[in-house]
Amino acid sequence: MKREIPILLTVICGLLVVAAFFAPAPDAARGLQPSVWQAINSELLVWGQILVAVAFLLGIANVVRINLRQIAARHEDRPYKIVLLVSMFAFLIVGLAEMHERDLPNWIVRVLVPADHVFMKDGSVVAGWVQGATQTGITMRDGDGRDLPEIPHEQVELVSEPSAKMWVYFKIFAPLQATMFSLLAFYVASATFRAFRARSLESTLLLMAGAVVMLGQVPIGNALTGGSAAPVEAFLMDNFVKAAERAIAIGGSLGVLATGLRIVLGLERSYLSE
Amino acid sequence: MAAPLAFDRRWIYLGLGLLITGLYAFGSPSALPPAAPVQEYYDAIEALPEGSIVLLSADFDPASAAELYPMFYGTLHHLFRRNIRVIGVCTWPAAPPFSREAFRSIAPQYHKEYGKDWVELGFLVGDDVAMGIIGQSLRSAYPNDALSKAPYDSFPLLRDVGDSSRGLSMLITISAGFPGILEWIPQLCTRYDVPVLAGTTAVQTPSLFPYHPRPLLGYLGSATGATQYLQLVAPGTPALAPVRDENQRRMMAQGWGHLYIVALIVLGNIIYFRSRRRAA
Repeated sequence: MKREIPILLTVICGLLVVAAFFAPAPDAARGLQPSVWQAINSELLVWGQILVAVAFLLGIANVVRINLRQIAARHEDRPYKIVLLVSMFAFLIVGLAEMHERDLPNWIVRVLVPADHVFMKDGSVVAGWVQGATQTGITMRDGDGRDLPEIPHEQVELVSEPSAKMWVYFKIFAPLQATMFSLLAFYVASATFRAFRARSLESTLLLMAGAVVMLGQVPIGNALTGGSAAPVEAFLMDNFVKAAERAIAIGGSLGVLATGLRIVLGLERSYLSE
Repeated sequence: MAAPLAFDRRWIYLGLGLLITGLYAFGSPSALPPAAPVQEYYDAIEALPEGSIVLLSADFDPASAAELYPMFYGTLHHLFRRNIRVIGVCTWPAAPPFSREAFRSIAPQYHKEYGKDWVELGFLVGDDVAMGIIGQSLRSAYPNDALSKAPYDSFPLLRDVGDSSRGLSMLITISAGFPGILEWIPQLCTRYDVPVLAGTTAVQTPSLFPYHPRPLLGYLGSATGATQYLQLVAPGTPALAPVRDENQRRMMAQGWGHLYIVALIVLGNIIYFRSRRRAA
């Protein structure tokens, strides 16, 4: 039963999703209402979405478990692992505090959520935490959770709502990720010098095509080749690359179809670790 | 073979770094002629009737923002300039800050009203499963918006979409990988007959070729495509001129970077053949 029930569930869910895919999609213009298949499919998709969300939590738990274990074992990389865990939880706490600002005790809000500032047209500034906007004005609270008098829109010059979460995102996370990605350019440059060799006919064709595409992509490359790089690049892309990509896409789709059929029919059981 | 391997690769890094930063700082921007798919992307937006509803999906993160954010930024300007109504969604968890930044800075420039002219629905977890849910029913996918957490039906724009994504005139995805354009096509575009435009990284662009020109009407490939598109949109949108100039400067530096790499290929092969001849 430990094996049969998961297979049965997979077969039933797979068949229902396939049936829903071939049922006519709802279309108000043609009077097509959502069918029972679509209702079931919707429910299954939401289940799938919940599973993906739970996988995020599992991922966090796994990162914590593995890194804590290595910190405890005095692994040589433990300073980096400490930085990873501290950064992860600091960002999580700051993000959650901003999301649930209205429900948190005032002292936590004061510590974790930067105050907003409303700059008035008369030059004065009102500090507090913006709660929202009505038709007539902006509602705010002070650091003790008391509602401040509504500020009429016509008196407001500018509202500044600093966010610690966004500060971390744009000042730390985004530059770090962009740096990691841009390092690729240096690795590519080094790798082309060391490994891109005309050792055979195939590798010669590959490196020539690569060079032409690189030159054809940029104005200076095209200018240096007397305008011939761009048309050759377009020819390669429109014919060889497009044809190869289509072949890969069709081949891959047939493979997915075959694997899907095998799973739905209960023949493929690798997902059960068999 | 010994010569190139013995060469300290840090000289290559230094050369590339100096070349790119020097040209970026001191070089002058140069214009690029628009490629056919870029012109098609632009024309497809121009052809949308005023008041059409477009789903604009930010499917990228900071790693690819240098290539993709200018596309997102330019597209949003273009849509608002044409009085197209926009629904913003994200399928990458790190995308919402970029999307929010763009909407917040651009919508007021065109006096667009939240809920009527644009709505931000935010990130939906689930990758391609999430796209399937969006395709089947935007209302089921997002019971509330991302900014005010108000119910779906409280927004006139979302009420106009209705239950099925057939209420959408177009999907535009600015996509860095999985999940992205290749998942949107089967989950939403082909199933619900929604035409699609895409902006992608250089690495992903060739994988779009099989889908162009149907259902993919046009696409922006890499920073080159972004720059060409900004050149098309900027003349009618003065606020975009600095972004276009910035991208043109980047492209000039990138162009010389390409030349540097081609020169390294040639140099590496010269050393390789000379060392082989010597060994023989």
